[in-house]
Amino acid sequence: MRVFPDDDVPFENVNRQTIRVKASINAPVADKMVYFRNFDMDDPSAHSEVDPDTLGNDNNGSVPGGTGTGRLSSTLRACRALANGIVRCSTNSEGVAIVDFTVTMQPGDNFAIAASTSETEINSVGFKPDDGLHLTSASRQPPLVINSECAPSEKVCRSRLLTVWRRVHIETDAMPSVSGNFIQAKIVPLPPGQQGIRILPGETKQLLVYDPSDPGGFPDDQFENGLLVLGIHKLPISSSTFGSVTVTNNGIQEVFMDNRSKLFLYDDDDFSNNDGANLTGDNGEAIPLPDVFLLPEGSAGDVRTSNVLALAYIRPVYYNANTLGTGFAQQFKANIDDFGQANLNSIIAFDNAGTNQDEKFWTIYLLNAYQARTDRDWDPRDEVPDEDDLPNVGETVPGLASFVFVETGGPKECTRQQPTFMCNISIITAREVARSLGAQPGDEGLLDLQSNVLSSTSLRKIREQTVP
Amino acid sequence: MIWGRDSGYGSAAIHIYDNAYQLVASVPVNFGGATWTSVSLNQYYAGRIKRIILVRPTVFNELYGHIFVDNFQFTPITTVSPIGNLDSVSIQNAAAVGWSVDPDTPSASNVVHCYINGTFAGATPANLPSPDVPHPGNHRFSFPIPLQYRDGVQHSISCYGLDVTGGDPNFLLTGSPKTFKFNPPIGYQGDFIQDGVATGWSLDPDVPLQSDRVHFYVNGPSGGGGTLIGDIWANIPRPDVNQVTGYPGNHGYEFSIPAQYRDNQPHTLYAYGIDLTGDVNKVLLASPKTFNLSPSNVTSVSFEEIAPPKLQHPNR
Repeated sequence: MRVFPDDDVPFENVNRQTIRVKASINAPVADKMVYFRNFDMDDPSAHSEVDPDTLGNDNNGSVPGGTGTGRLSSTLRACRALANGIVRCSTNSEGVAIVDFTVTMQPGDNFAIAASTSETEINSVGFKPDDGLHLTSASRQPPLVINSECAPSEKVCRSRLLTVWRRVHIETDAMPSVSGNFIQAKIVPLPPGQQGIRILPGETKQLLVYDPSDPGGFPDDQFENGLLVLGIHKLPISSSTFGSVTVTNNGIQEVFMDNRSKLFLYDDDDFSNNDGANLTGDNGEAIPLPDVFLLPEGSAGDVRTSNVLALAYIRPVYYNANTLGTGFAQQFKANIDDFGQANLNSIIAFDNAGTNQDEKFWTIYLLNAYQARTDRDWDPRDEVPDEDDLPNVGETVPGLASFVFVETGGPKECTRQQPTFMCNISIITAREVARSLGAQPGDEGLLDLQSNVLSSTSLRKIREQTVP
Repeated sequence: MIWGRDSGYGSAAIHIYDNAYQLVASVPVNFGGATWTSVSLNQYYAGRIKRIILVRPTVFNELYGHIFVDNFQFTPITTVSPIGNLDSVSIQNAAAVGWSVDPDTPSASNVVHCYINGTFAGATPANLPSPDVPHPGNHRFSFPIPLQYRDGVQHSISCYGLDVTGGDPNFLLTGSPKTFKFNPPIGYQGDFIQDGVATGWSLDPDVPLQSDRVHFYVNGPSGGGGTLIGDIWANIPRPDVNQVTGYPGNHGYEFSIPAQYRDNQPHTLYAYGIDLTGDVNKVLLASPKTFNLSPSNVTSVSFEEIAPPKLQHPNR
């Protein structure tokens, strides 16, 4: 049995933290007294850092003014609070006693309720020694049966395990279609008397070029394996340096250029790896919404082998940004060089930002972007992508947004030397969502792109955080 | 101080006997012939001397050592009786308290004897710290009132300070006598409000702000074949009890009959108020009550959401 105590919609003002507990006696008789007692059961997790022992009382959350054991309520008409948190309620004409129980808000917290017609017996209920998953009582040293049905001879009956689950509402977004991902260059003015440069079929030649809009030049190797386009001619670039490119004319016609020629330089960006030799810098190509294959919603979200977050008792719920208020991200940027909030605010369009700090309605903004910082987008390839141990295939600014860089982490750019997990967009996506939920690089496992599952450290952090 | 003269023997001893003719000291003396010689006796002996005997060793066997001296003078030191006061009888502590001291031995603690209704009730040392008593040493006492006098009836107590050395009369402490009355619990055993839940109230009038305990016996009274089946605090608010008795505090109780007595058989339930100060416990008014309960056990515990359905995300 599980409970989702969070709001169904933002600021819902509905108490979903409290559920009803019903205890039936063996005859439909009214005014029989039933004693209820709640327990914080041991976390069944096999992860050492999440649950290092076999004892109970290990929930992460607490109810207002109470503890991690939750709280039974005596506010119902036929109930009265007794010592030790016990609440006594009388049965109705159907022989059913009813009490309300308030759970904590942290995912994975779990509880059990014991009920008995004997106050003495309910007071004797406790954990089995060194076994916080089971309860015993004075009349029953073998653990109480974990079943919603109990034999009439049993003096105490316990409920099944009740576990808190949470939902994280993920707003998925993508940058607009790629645009402007090229340089319009010219050759360095020729000396007087030289009319132009000719490149014969099969000839390789180094050209001195510059970007009129950026006289500062471009980095070495930026256009290596790229393409120079001049009119109908497309010349592969074998190497590039600051202010020059070396091209080969693979065509059958001579290529001529002069001071007036407009040269379009494309690097080898091709996030979907579908351009072949016809490189265009992905210009005009739409960036897809995030790949959430490892974070399915609906019933698939309950399956631990399907939903990375299921081990943390969290189910995703998705919102397509295009169907919300302001729609998609505001602008395409080939690289995000500045992760300051001011710069990001000019890019992202977080429609659910209003609930970003709501502890009862967890929201995350997940954006498919193009490339990371220009010095860490693996383009040119001799960049050191992991200079600070953070794979730059994704980035997260806690409390603001998570980014997946589809080109940097894509099949073409992400080199074969990198670990397999680092070059899998769905894994990168799951990792960035986990970061928004409190996990951090250095946790090992998914967060260090060593595997596709969350480490014990990450699970603990996610289950302890109160608002992503 | 003893003066003696005996020309016949230089070496002898003075034996000193107390009021009960018990030898309390043997002091070597040498009266040295016809000259008057003095022997100093300490204060302890002075207060208890009944007889002084000169013993001459050479004739000890012949006369069993008892030869009276003709010439001696004995000047006893002046002593006084103890003093002290019986301050009060503390209901809270169930004890008579006060102080007593023998000024002859102000550093020593003396003994206090107390009489209730003229009958000796017990003794206690006056050896508790007494910073308020202008004598060195510890001189306060706390005499526990015996249980038989904590019975809701008024009694009178007087206490005496005993002389340390025994030479002076005992002293009836000022403040004596004091009257006192200890109140046992009062209460009422009400009806069963619901299945197997006995109700009622109990309080100790001596300390009404505190809640007392109630003991429950089944099938007989305490000490009369009954079995103790419950011991609970009477601490549930009962404004009606406060109003009727005039006592403050929370004094109601609710007691659930244990499962083994829910057996379709008739039983009697006795309820006793337990005194907070150790007075006698009292069976509550209207006790005992009879009951005949059928057994019942919980056969299922289940959960049910009570919040409105998740309309926005019904399957999430």
